[in-house]
Amino acid sequence: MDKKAVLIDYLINNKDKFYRIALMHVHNEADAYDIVSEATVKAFTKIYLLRNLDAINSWFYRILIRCIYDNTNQKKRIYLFEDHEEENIEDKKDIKINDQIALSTEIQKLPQKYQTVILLKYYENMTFEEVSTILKIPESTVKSRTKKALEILRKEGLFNE
Amino acid sequence: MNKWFNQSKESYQKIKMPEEYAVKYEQFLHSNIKRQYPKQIFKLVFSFLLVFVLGVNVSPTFAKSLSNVPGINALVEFFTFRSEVIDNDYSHAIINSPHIDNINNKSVETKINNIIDQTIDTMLKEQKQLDKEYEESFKATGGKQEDYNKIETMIDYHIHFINNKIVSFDLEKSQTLASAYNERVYFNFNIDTGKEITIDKILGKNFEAIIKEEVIKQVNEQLEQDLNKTYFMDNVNNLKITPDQSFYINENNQIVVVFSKYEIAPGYMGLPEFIISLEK
Repeated sequence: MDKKAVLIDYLINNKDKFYRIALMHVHNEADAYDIVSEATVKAFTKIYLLRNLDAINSWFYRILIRCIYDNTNQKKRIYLFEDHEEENIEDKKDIKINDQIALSTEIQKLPQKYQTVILLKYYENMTFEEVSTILKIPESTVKSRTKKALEILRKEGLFNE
Repeated sequence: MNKWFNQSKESYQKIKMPEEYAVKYEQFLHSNIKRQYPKQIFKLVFSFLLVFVLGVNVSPTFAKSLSNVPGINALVEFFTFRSEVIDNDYSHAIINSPHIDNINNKSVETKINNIIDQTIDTMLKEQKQLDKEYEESFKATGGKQEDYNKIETMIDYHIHFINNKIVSFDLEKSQTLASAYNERVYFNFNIDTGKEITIDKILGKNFEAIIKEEVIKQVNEQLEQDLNKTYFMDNVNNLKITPDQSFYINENNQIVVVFSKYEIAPGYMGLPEFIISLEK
C-alpha cells in the first residue's frame, strides 16, 4: 500500500515530463496521453518488481520508453498495409502543429534511438549512468549515441560553436 | 551549449500535459487504487475454488479426505471411480464410471456401487459382443484389415440430483456404429434405505394417468409451437407406463420422465423428456 502511494505521488508530480517525452516521439497528443496511461497501468501491475523506492525514477522511465517504442513499432507495421502517402501527409501536419509548441522539430527528425538519448540526457538533465540504466544499454553506447546525434545536429547547422 | 539548444530546451520544458488530460489522468490514478483490492480477492477465491474442484474430481483420495472435515460432508458424494481406456484388436472404449461416497450407511453405499459396476460390466460385455460381430461380418463381406475402423465406445455418467436423502443419476453408453445401440440407464436411490425409487412411489397409484395426461398435453403444445418436432401420435395416445418407467429428478426438484429413442418419436428427436410438476 505504501509503495502504491509513493508511486501515485511520483506519477502526479512528474506527469508533464512523461507526457512531453512521449509527445516528442509520437508527434500526436492523443497518442502521447495513451502511452502515459498505458505505462501507468503497467507500472501498477508490475509494482511488485519495484523493490527499491529510490530507483522509482529509472524504473518508471524504463516502462515508459518501452511503451513508446511499442507504440512506434506498431505504427510501422500499420504502414505496411495502409496507403503510405496518406499517412505521411498526416505526419507532416502533426509536426507543423508541434512547431508552435517547440523548436525541437530537428530533434524529432533524428532516428529514434538518438532522439531518446538526447531527450533524456540534455532535456531532462540526466547523467549518462541514469540513461544507461533506463535504456538497459552500456554507458559507452549511450555516449557514442549522444556523440553521433550531436554530429547530425551539427551538420544541420544548428551548432555553430 | 549554444543558443539554439538552450532555446529548444526551454520550450521543451514548457510543454505540459493539456488540462483535460491532466484531470483525466489524476482521476485515473485515484480510481486505480480502489480497484486493485477486490480484483486480488477475486483471484484468490477463484484459485482456491479451482484447486478444490480439480482436486475433488481428479483425486478420489482428496475427495475422501475432504469428507472427513465436518461441514463439507454433504458436498462430495460422487466421484469418478474408474476412468480407463480399453483398446484391443476390435474395440476401443473410454469408460468413466462413478462411485458414490460418504453415505453414513456403508452397506447402502456398497449396494449402490455394486449396481453401478454391474450395469457398466453388462454394457461392456454387450458392446464387446457387438464389436466382435461387427468385425467378423466386416471381414466376411470382403473387408480388408487395414480398412477396418474400430467402433468407438464411450461410457459416462451424469448426476441430476443429489442431497442427503436422494440421488438421481444416469449411466450412458454411446458408440459410433449406430445410435440405436446407445443406451442410457437412469437410477434414483433413497440413500437412507438403499432402495431404488420407482415412479409410483412418488406419484402414487395414479401415476399412469398423471404422466399420460401431462405427456399428451406437452406433446400437443410442442407440436403447435415448433413445426420441426414430430411425435408418433398413435404411440403417444396409447402410452403404457410401468412402475419401472425411466425418469430422473432435476436440480429444481422436478420429476423428468424420459422415453427411449423411437418409443414415441422418430430417432432425430433423441430422448424425449417431459417435466411432470408435482403440485397436482
